[in-house]
Amino acid sequence: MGVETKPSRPVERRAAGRRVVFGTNVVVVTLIVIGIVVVLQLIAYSMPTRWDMTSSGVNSLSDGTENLLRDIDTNVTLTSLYFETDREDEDQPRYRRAVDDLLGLYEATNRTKVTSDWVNPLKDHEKFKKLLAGLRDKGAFKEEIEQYKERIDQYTDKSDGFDTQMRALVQGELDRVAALGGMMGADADQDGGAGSRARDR
Amino acid sequence: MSNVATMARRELGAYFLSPIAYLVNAIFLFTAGLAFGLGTFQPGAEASLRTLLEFWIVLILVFVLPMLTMRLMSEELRSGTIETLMTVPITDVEVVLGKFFGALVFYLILLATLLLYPIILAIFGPVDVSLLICNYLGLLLLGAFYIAIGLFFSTCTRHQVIAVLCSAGVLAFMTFAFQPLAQLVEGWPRVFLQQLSIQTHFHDFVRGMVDVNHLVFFLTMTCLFLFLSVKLLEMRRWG
Repeated sequence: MGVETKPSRPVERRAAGRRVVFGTNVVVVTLIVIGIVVVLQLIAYSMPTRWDMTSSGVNSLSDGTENLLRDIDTNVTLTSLYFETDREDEDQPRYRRAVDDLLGLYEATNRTKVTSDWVNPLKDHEKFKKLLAGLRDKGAFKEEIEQYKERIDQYTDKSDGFDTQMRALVQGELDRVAALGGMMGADADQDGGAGSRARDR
Repeated sequence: MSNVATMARRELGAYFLSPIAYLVNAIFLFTAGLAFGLGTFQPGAEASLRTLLEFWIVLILVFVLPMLTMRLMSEELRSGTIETLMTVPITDVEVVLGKFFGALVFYLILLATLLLYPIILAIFGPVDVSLLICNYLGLLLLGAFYIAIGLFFSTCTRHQVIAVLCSAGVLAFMTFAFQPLAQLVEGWPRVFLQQLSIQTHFHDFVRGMVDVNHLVFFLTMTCLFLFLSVKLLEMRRWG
């Protein structure tokens, strides 16, 4: 016959109390640690310290550009307008990446003030329209913009179906280039070695 | 400190005794080799691992590392050996750090196998050694962070499948979703999402730039998840 032992009420209360104290302690310490992590990341975010590890120095900006970017005290958005189509040269993504890298460098130099954006006029139609409207009403470079104002207005006014028109235009051009390329390739095949022989002469 | 080293040695030994480690190794080498052969090792392409690291290795690690970390704590919890571990004179911090470093050393062995690719590239063109060091630093920090998240989810549950699914899901989301999401918003939400995006931070290491912001991100987030694992383990002790 076994003897059943039951913890007395004060013991149960003490255990429950200990759990509450321990639980509160865990929550408080966790919140403090998360706070420290956030603060450290905020400090690091605003620090423009970085090292270019490439031997070619491809990730370095000139002193003039660095100083110019660091002295910016108002919010600046660098917008890159880059076409991206379904049919494009295989080098195009590499060029896009190079532009993206450069904008990233500008951004990293003064993160709190400089941001970069990427607009594909064939796809991000709303963004493109907003950008044109902003450009038109820009206070700075007003004289320079004046001569292009009519064209900008034309684009903003005839915005309906603009992306479709542009897409058709670019695709048409790409098709023509592809067709020409194909014809040239076929001619070269027909000529056989004649072309290269003529070039040699 | 010696307790951490002993624990790490034990974990590393356990990896080589289990078939999962060999399976993970095989999956990693096969997929990385495929990505290198089809994506990087092309005529006219630059002699760098950028294409391979920027997308493929990150994608592989998102799924491979949770498979490595899933058993770290879950196995102890499932088999009940955690009780024995709790009674030996070793602190919770040492247990977590030991397991973390054991997995990290195994990951470094995996990374060492990737050195074959720059050697192959060096036959055909000049390879930038300092860029390669930067790439490996990025991979080390990325792996440490992934392992810390995997260890945290492994401490959360006794079921290894749940641990692997949760870690892979969170890692995939943090790696691939935050950056496109950030493009949809502006102002501070954009900064917040970009700051949480793993790809944003890893991208600069791949292109050969060491930024304090990225270093701090990876180190603090790794420490945060290790800390959370310790606290979870402590909570189990206190019931």
